[in-house]
Amino acid sequence: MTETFNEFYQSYVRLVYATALSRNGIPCAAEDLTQETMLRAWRGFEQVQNLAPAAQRAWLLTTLRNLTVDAVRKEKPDRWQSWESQPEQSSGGGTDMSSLRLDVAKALTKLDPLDREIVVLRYFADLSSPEIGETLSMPESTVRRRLMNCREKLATALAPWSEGETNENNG
Amino acid sequence: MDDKQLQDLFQQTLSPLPTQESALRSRLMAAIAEEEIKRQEAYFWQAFTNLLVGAGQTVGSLSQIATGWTIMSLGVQQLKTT
Repeated sequence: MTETFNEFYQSYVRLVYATALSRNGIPCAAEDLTQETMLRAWRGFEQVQNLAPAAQRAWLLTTLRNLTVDAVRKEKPDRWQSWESQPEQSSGGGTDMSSLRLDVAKALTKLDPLDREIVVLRYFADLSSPEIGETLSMPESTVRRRLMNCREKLATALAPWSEGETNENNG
Repeated sequence: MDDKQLQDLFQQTLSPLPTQESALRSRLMAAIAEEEIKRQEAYFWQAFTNLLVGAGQTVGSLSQIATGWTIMSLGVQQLKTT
């Protein structure tokens, strides 16, 4: 791994993993997709390294999207089932990190795929609306509108975890 | 639930665990090493093929020169006898 690729990897691996995980909440599937996305980035690094950061993010997310479509086609269907078969709420403000992960995953899988990417870029990667718009090639106003809708849905779905309960669980 | 709380939730739940991060890195390095070996092999076979083709062409050229030389010698011989 060259030093330049290493920097690139460090900058984006968490974003790629988080985006992959947000699709179905299954860590091993997210790991496979992250690995393959990064391997493709390495193969095409001569081109990718010359892109601007927003274009690099866009390249990675598009690659991840395509790989996910392929994976869904190839894998056994049960691996990609949504969380519909799980109990509606894991514990209603439960007491451990796995319950929290489960509830966040379930809340995310109820969003449409583009909204999931917007939400991950905003709340995980901490990007501004203009940066998200640039990454996903959409107007900033659309990003803001979609974010507002998502925020309401997420707040409702994750309400039991508000009021500082997550901090207790983290410690 | 405000933006800050959502951010905290997402950071806590979507980040890879340290063990996952290290496993991901190792897997990627192994995959890259494997690709590098395949790439080197491909380079080797390409170079080997080029060498064979080049050698073949050289042999062909030498044989053409030899044939030309023979024809020319025969022609000169013929001229001498006439």
